[in-house]
Amino acid sequence: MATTESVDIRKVAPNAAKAVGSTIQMNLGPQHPATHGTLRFKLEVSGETIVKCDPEIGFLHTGFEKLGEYRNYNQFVVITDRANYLSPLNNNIGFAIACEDLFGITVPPRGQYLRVIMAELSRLADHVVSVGLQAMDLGAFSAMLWTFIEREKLYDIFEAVTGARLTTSWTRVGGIFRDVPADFETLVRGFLAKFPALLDEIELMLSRNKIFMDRTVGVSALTKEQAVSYGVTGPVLRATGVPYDVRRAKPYLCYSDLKFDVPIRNEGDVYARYLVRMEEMRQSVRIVEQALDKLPDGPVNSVDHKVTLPPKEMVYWDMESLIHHFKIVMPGHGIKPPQNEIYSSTEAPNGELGFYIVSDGTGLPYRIRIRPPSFYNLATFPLQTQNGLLSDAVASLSSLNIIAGELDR
Amino acid sequence: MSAAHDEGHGHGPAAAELPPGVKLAPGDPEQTWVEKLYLPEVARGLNNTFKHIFRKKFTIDYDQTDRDNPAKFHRPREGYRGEHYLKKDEDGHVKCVACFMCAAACPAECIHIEAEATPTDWNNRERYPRRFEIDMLRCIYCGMCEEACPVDAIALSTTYNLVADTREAKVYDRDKLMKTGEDLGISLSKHKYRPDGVPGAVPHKKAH
Repeated sequence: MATTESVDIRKVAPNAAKAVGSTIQMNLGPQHPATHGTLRFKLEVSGETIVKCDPEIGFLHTGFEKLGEYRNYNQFVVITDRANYLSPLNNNIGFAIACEDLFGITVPPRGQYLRVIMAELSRLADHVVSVGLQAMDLGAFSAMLWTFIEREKLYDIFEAVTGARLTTSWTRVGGIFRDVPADFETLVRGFLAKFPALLDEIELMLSRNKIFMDRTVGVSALTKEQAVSYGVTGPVLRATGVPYDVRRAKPYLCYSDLKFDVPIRNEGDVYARYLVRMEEMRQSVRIVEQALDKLPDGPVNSVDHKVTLPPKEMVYWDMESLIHHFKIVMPGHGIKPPQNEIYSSTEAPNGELGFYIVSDGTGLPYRIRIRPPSFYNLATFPLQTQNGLLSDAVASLSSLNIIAGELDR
Repeated sequence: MSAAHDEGHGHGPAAAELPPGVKLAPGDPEQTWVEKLYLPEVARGLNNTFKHIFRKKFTIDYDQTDRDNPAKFHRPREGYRGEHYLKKDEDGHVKCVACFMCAAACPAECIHIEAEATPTDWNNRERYPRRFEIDMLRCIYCGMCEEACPVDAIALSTTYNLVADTREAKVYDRDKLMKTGEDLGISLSKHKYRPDGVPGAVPHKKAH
């Protein structure tokens, strides 16, 4: 098209002329593919630069915390599955640990080791998909497909162990609902043998890729002070150089017996978060291998049958076991914790996942408050995207790995 | 990885400054001049991508008419939490004693039972469910009903392709649930009632 020497924009496009020099409102989401769930951002943009960003949550509000007031302690596990649907096992385990703190019971060593193995496998599933989606949001589609293959393989293990691929509902107060299958170790070791090859492949495709680096290095950087003051946890915090990991800071289960490194970076940008996630996956592989080597025999559940269900074979024939079974299942009897309130946190893939439980001494919790890592990580999003480009907001959001399910609760 | 990848240790604090158990994740945000040229990296990436063409395909052609073929239909192993079924006792009656424990344990509140005294010719228990319905659309397949059942009457099969034309068709009644078990050939409960017909347990033989 031929261009004239001078175009009077007021004549050619009178509406656009009004916008020159002013900002316009723009929506990112709630149905934008890069928002990872239904999440809306009210953006004020000047050209391509974001002047102001206002995240709006609530599009996926499911009332998990309110539902918790009408479910007993064992039944609430199914709701934790659905809070963070990218790593349900971590949520199951986090909630079970919180309940056990409340009830004051301990899980036998085998149960603890199995929980560590499954939590780390779930962390692998979360991180690997998170990295893949991060690549997809920046245009690298192949890496995403390969990471989803690995997640399917992990889901095959979860299916064999828990009986479901996504809604695992694996833990119960005082243990897990059934022991792992006999070929569990073979399954996990078979997976671990091939998994590092995928990490190498992703590094080959992304780590030194000019497009990926141009889109991520120096983008949406957070400083250490900003991250700490906003309560950011997980890989996003560790990418700013703070080596805070709940597994190390406040060891739970048998993490103190296992050797692993907490990876950090100092840049705090999107690329640093990617590097931290990649290294964390290698450390998780290391943890699972050690835990499999040390996996003891014995019971998986607490033997206190006032809290955990007795073995099924006993329930069929033994009167006392049947009474325990009945007391635990039926409402009005149920497992009753002491009147107390506790906060317990675990390291979920996105950061510190906390459960604050208030018990009034009845079978139903008075209040269950979830501290989801995504909520605190998202709070820094306006800070990160301020004065950045619109396309960088997408890169930043996928590096935070926001899960709308746990964000809205 | 490349030499550039390992150079990442040179940036930021040295390993000695970090507390024990903390590691600097390897990586280098600086691009070398070769990487800035872009084309060698593209060639390296595409070279890897093209290798995938010759790998074994991971996805399967889903075909639920060919259920015995693992290349066409994923069949979960025993212990998968799929569609429910009700088991039978040796006489072919429903095994359930209508104790309502599955309904109480259900977090989704999808099990509805109406109990009734057993017909006179059933001599192994007093109650049975006149109506036993599971709303499969409410059900979340958590398996807590199976866990709560004290007489091994309800269980979850490995059937996962749950499709129907209407909502009503997904509310399974007692006979439908029993038929599910029959069709799968797993409907007989392995656990017997007390032989004399008295409710309760027999004295346990095992010392514990």
